[in-house]
This record gives sequence, structure tokens and C-alpha cells, in this order.
Amino acid sequence: MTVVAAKPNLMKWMRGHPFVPGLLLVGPTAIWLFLFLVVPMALVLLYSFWTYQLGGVMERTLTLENYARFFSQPLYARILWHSISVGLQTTVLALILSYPTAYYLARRPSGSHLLIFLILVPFWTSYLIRIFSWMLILMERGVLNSVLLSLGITQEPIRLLFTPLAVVIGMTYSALPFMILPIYSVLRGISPDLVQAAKTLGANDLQAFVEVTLPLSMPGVMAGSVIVFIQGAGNFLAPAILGGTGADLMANVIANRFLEAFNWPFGSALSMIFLVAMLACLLLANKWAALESIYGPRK
Amino acid sequence: MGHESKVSVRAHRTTPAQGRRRLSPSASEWFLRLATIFVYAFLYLPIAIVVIMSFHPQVYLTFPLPGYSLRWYEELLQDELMIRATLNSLWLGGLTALLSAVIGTPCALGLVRLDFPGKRLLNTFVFAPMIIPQIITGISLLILLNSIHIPRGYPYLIIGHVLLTLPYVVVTVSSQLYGFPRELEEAALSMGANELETFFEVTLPLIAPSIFAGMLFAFTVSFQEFVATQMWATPSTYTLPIRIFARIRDALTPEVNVVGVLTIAVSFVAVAIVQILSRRGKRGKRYGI
Repeated sequence: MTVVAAKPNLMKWMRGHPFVPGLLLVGPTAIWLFLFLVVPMALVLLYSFWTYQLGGVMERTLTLENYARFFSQPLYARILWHSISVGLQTTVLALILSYPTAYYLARRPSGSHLLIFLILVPFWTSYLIRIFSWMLILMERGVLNSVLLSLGITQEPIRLLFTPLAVVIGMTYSALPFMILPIYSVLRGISPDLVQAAKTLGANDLQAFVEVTLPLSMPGVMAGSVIVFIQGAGNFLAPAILGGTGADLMANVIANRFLEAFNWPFGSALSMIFLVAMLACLLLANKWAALESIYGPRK
Repeated sequence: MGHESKVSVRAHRTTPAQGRRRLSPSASEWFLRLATIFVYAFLYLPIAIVVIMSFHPQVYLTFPLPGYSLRWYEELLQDELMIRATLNSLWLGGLTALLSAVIGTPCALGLVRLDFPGKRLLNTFVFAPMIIPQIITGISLLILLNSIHIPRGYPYLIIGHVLLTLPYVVVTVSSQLYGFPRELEEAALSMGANELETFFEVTLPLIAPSIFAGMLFAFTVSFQEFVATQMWATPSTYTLPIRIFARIRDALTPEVNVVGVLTIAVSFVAVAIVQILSRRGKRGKRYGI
């Protein structure tokens, strides 16, 4: 009985201190994020000012040597630019392909559960397998070449795999669900009355779309674009599987510094530079992005 | 002609509430339909090819297939390394899902229901593991745990996978909490239950479907994560994606396709369960209010 009596007292005390239950509930997540994301990031920053000496010794004095190395060798700047450029190409291609589909799905009155389900399956399917599937298609004796040969369009197998194009195709393919879902969920939330009102006021279908629907769908477009861009620019698997030598993007170079070259300080500097570049892009887009909607359609 | 007239009859019946539907299949309508069909074909053709190739009878992946066989399904059953990696991924995914749900569910409750200092900051930060490129998450946890002399392997994998999957649990659970019928809790409280009893007797059973959905997502993400995981795993703790990647790089055989088919099946089942749950949830809510 005493225990039961104690509980309401605790509750009463908490009601007097409204912050406490909130902090207790979010505490574990906050601690997890702090310990395993924030603190490690700070360590990466610290490492990036250290240097790696031949023989595997870490020199723990702070220098800007790694950053100087990045900016003095055009190779690394080119890889960073290449990553951003591939990210942008993927975003634009995915956007062009996704918008009509998202629009079509959003306008269906209801009962498009199956169609949404068919978008969600690839959304949750292994990125590795989705990239790998393009290897089967683009190989020298792969699906696409065998179709082209049998139709007589080409006489010899064309080199498709291990090209920059293959990387962009693979990324765009994998990006589609991430672009379709946020655009769909934002479009779905636009009241048809607004479009109707524009038409009542004399707009035709196209004008109503350009003046009303398109601007209102921008939060979804931005959310999808941000996630697709980050995924593209930070991609490891598409360049590793579909790209040839020299297709490496930032993620591949960073992984290599940690797993093969064992130059952690330089890898850390690369990571920091990459992260800052990504954050700059993200801040540019942040004004319009409804980042919560990247996850999927709202119910 | 007959088709067109049918459409226009339907158009006359259109009420403002059904305004999403356009009047007749115009050129733009056909464009939309074709674009949508193209996108669905584009989405599913590669998946279909993985499935078809898994029945390849030979070692070299040629297309068209010279025949069909279950040879590589049988070989997979003999493949110690793949089986060990699969089991490893299965239990890692399960443990990750459980831990993420235990940590993430209260967080969703706090973020949706209560006010506290730093709420906005946390609300943004919770999504960080979803948005930061996995390679960065991978190397940063590697640096942290390495600097306190923990050898690579399970501690990295468990901590890291929970970090990567927490956002999915928080988003899924909070999306159900936003539409939660608070009257039910108020009723319980007015009948003399305290907050804890109300939580366990009323709130938890009602949000259980979304917690389960979040766990399924967490499992799926953990089961498939490659980029950060390659920074954390050692050969004895290799997960399935790491093994698959090594096969793709070194000795590509149709066996990889078989594993691909199994992976696709896992996500297919997970999404199907979540869809069914979410529709049940909506129906339940209607009765609840």
C-alpha cells in the first residue's frame, strides 16, 4: 500500500516540475545521440588537425597540414566537386522522373494503397541489391547489351558498366522512392478547392498547375531533393560497384583512408571538409524543406 | 466515342470533394499515365532481373539464361560464410530493433506530448543519423570507440545500428501519437488511474502497432546497412551486406542473386506488415473516438 501511495506523490511532484518527465523520456535518446554522434564528430574534428607519420605513428600536435594537403592537390578538390556534381545530376534526373508519378498518385481519389505499397517496397529494399541489379543490366554480357544486340541496334557489346553514366543511372534508380514519397505526401495535402478556385477565376489546367499546385508542392520537392542529393553526393556503393577506376567519390576516398591507407587524420580532414560542403548545400535548401516528410506519406 | 461519353457522364457527377479527378483523359492525362507506367517499370525491372538471374544454371552470369535451375539456392544452403553472415545480421537486426524501440518510444512521447528545454534542438538532432552520410557516422564511431581501446566488432555494430535506426522509431511512433485520442487517457485518469497505469493500460496498447512498425523499419535498416557497417565489422562479425559486397567485388556468382531475392523478400514482407498494421490502426482509431 505504501508503494501505491508513493506513486501519486511522485506524479504530483512531477506536475509541479513540468520539465522533468520530458527530460526523463527523451534522456536516453539524447544521451545516445550525444555520446555516439556529437562526441565522435568532435573527435573527428580533433583528429583532422593531427598528422599521420609513416610507420603508423600519430603525431598529436595541432596543424593545418591535412587541410593544406587537400587544398594544394587538385585531385581532392576534383573529387569533392565530382561528388557534388553527381549528387546534383541524380537529383535533377530523379526529380524529372518522380514528379509526374507523384502527381498522378496524389490525384487518385483513394484506393492507391497498392501503388504506394509498390513504391515503398523498393524504398525499403537493400541499397546494395538495388545498385547490384544494375550491374546485371549493364554488364558486357548483361541484359541491356543482349537486348541491343538481338535487336540489331549494335553489332558489338557496348561498354556500359564501369562508366560515369552507370553510376548516375544506378543512383537515380535508387533515389526514385525517396523523391516520389515526399512530393506525393505534400501534393496529397493540397486542397483541391485551391485548384478549383484558380479555375473559377479563369485559369486553365496548365496555369492552375503552374500558379497553384507547383509552388505549394515545393516543400516536398525540396525535402526529396535534399535527401537524394545527400545520398548521391555521399554515395559509396554506386561508384564502388558500377563505377570503374577513377569513379571514386568522397565516401570512397574517406573509406579508403580509414580501411586501407590507415591515414585517419587525413581521412578525418576529408570528412570534415565533405561535411561542411554538405551542410552548406543543406542550409541553402533548408528554407523550404519539410524534412520530416522525407520519411514517407503522412497519415 | 463510347468511352469518351462514359467519362463525361462521370465528370458531371463530380462533386467539389472529388475535385482531384480531372474531367477527361486529355493529352496531359496520357502523359501522366505513361510517365507513371514508365517509372513503375523502371522500378521493378531491375528487381525482376535479380529474381530471374537467381535461377541461372551456370557460374557466369550471362543473359539470356541458358536454362533454369535451383542450383544456387542449394549452394547457398551449403555456404557456411553466407549462412553465418545471415544469422549474424538477423540477430543484430533483432537486437537493434528492440533497443531502438526501448530508447526511441519514450523519446517520441516526450517530443510530441511535453515541453522541455532544448526540445527544438533535439527534434532536429533526432533526424541527423538519417541525413548525415553513413560513411561519416561510420568513421566517427570508429574513432571514438577505437580511442577508448574497444576492439572492432559487436559493440560497434550494436551502438552504431541503434544510432542509425533510432530516427525511424521516433518518426513512426510520433506520427501515430499526433492523431492519438487523448479523451481515452483523460477517461482513465478521471476514473482514478495514475499516469503510469494510464500509460501501460491505455496509451501503450494503442501505440503498440506503430512501435512494432518502427521496429520492423529498424530491423530492415539494420539488416541492410553496408556503408557504416564496413567500418565497424571484423571478418568474424561480418554481416550479410558485407559478405554480399565482398562476393560482388571478388567472385561474382549467381548465388549473390539468391541472397538478393531473400533480401527483397524480407523488405517486401516488412512493408506489407506495416501497411496492414497502419490500416488496422486507422480503423481502430475510428472506433476509439
